[in-house]
Amino acid sequence: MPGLFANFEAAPVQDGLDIRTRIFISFVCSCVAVYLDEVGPIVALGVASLVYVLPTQRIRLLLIVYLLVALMTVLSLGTVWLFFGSVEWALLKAGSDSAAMAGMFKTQILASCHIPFLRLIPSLNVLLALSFSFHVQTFVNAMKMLHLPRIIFLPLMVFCRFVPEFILNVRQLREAVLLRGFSISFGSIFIHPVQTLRLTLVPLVIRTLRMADNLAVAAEMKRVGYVKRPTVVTPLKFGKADWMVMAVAVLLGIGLVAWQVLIQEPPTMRGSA
Amino acid sequence: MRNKFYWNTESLIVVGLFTALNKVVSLLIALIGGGMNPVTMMLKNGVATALLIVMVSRVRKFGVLALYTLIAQVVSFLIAGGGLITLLPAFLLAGLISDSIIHWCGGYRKLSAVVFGVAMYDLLGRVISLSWSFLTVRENEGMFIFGAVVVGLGYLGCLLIGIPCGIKFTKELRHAGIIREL
Amino acid sequence: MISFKQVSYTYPFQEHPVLRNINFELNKGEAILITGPSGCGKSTLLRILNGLIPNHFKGELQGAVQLDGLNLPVPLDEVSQRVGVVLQNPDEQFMATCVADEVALALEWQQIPAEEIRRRVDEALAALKIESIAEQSVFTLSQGEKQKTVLAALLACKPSVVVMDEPTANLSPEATEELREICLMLKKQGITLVIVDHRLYWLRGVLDRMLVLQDGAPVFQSDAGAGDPLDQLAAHPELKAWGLRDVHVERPELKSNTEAEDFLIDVDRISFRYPRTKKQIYSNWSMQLPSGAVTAVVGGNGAGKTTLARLLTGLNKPQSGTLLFDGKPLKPRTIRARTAFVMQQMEIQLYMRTVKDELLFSDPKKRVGNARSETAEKWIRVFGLTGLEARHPQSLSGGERQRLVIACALMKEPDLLILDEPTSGLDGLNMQIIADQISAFTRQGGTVLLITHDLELLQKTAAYKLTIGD
Repeated sequence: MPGLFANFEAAPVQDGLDIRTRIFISFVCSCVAVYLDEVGPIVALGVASLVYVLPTQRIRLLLIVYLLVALMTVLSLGTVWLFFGSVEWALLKAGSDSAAMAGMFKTQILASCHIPFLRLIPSLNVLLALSFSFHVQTFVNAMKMLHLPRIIFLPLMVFCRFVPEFILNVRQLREAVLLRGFSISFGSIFIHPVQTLRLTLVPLVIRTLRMADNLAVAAEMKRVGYVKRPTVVTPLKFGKADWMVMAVAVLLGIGLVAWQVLIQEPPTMRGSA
Repeated sequence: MRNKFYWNTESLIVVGLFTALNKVVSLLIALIGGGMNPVTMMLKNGVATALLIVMVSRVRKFGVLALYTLIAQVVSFLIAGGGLITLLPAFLLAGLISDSIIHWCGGYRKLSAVVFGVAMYDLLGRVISLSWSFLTVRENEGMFIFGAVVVGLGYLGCLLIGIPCGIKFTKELRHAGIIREL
Repeated sequence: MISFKQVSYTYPFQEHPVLRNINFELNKGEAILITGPSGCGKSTLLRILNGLIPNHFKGELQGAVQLDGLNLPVPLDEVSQRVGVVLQNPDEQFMATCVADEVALALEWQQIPAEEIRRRVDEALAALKIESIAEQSVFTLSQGEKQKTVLAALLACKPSVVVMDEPTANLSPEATEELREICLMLKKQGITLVIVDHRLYWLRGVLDRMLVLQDGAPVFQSDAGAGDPLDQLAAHPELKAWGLRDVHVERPELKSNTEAEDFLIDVDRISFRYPRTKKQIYSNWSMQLPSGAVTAVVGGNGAGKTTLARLLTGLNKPQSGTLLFDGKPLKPRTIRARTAFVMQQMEIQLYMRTVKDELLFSDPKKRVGNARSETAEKWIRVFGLTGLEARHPQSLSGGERQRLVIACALMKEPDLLILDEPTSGLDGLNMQIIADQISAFTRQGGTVLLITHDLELLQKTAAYKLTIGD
């Protein structure tokens, strides 16, 4: 998410593909990724998505994100392993028959963890490609072009405008609290949970409600939201490249699904091995 | 009176603002508390519930939970690059059911009805996402069970932290005149 | 163009009217200033003009209001076609993320053709001379640029009346001067101006009419053809009693901070840049902060006025150089215990359920039992908050809230008090209370670093100036 709003200060430059194409590709990719459960096709999807994300030339950031994901994977696997380990231990102590089942889960986690995580890679790649080329303003324009009804468009526009604002507010709030001699930290959540909640949430919620009132008045004065769809001043261009990339994505998706079906011929029950 | 649409500009703005606030606050809690620990999980879910109660008490319109769901889902679709958008109809239905519960329990002006509806909404939403996560990690039952425990813990956070906080906030905001009682 | 005849208004469920017997007339291309102490009914009058009363707020509106040929009440969108409104805080009016899009926003929702929108946006940007920031993000604008963006968005809609609510509250003296030029330009275009502001001095030569309200009723109304309304006001014998700001304001001549004898803080050759933006704010910069006096920080936008406050309170650390507090280098934690910093954003500095709790919460736990409560009560009294002890801090009016935040800062009994725009948007009375308390604090040996655009506050409190940048 920080990636999405990291470049909100940059001038709107539209490079390469239309944002709608990128959204479409994300959609196709995650649908296909969820369907696949054979190593071959998933790896192929991963490679294809890598080819798609590389032209953004943000290799360093890409590597950092991969590293973070790897770290998180190890961490969460460790947590899960510990969880079932301790459950097994507790059940063994109690002499329950279910201990064996917990033990089975424990070994199974390490044995078949690769598929869910391989599945994550393609989604991650397309997401990064989307967020690297993301600019809040082009995005808002794209929303208009998608002919979204106002009940989706208006809240999304407000969302895009106020996420950076809230991030700023949170930072200011943290400092204001610090100046009062309190800190909002990991420790304070445990030591003073009620006070921490009060110090953070009360000002933020009140600020949000006040902003809502003021923004609503300003919007009413401008008659924002009085018609179904606003005029689009700078239409986005949907070029040949977009159609081609989309076609390639769809064909690739179908191909990979077909590949998996072929591997699993004759049809068998899919699921846990 | 002013706007011919049922969802006037003001309600749409409030929903958009609270979606943004919710995302930022849960990001903040995750950053401060670290990802995988029970306290952070409970706190994150609890705070989201509290904010939802405040939002519903502010907008007070039938369908607000469904609308919020729609926006939050579109946003997470854009942030998480897809996946859950396939569940949109199910989530929308959950929103509508919860809205109806609030409606039948005495309407949006009654805090207890709002709280009950939001609690129901949180429950339904979790059931749906758990079924989906079953599909994505189907090779690994252990992970699914672990996921279920995490989600259950989150719901506990909604009930134990979110609802008391939400009630307290809403009462305080009404008292301060920031949420108009009329 | 605008005429109010015997207008009174009562909010729903209220016994007494907030506005009584308002009468005035304004021709096309004229400007009126409506002023008066906080709570005098100015905001209510604005709400009638922008159509929120009676469309949004019910209640009872009496008398006759005529607006550009319309006899109010009419539906809100008929009013908003004619009246453009600048609300107090420009930040809270933006819905788009870049300047040009914000200017185009209202036109887009009127479904005006794209060609026409582009032409009108260009015109509006050119009229306010902000073409160069057209593509800039609204998050990076200065207060003056934000104000101009809001005005450009209004002009693009071609209103016949422009209403401004506290337009100079957050502006620097330079930006205020630019706003004055803009007002003259709007008048020349035949746009009628209704300005509600506490600051008076900048409007010299702009006004045709003036209305001073107190408790909802007019106490002063300028005569047409009797000279500048500001001069008429200045000559009025009861002026002092109304709690207004000064009619004449000059930038005070202040001594340089180097002329002082005692210093509390010694900044020795510090260099600082924000890690994010990489912009160098200070390089090898030294200064000394006079002790027991008010020092005003002077410098343009982005010169590093607020950054100085952040360094002094340990919110940021300089990359090199030393910072001595009372001759000793201290840890940020210790510095923060001895300083109080009142930031611009008031809402995020109030957390508790009642005014009194807020003050008690600010006490650094040095006092016990009754002494604590008594100190809190003293500050409540001194800052004129008596009777509000049990109120929710966030339900207070702007002036009361600002006073409370400063009272909380003083409750901490700091050695150094840093104030960032403590009087923006306040009337003369509120400003005087705050100025008096700042002076009282320095008389007891406290040191104050004051960051403000408010020339009147500078005049009343500051002893030294500290120049940053050129």
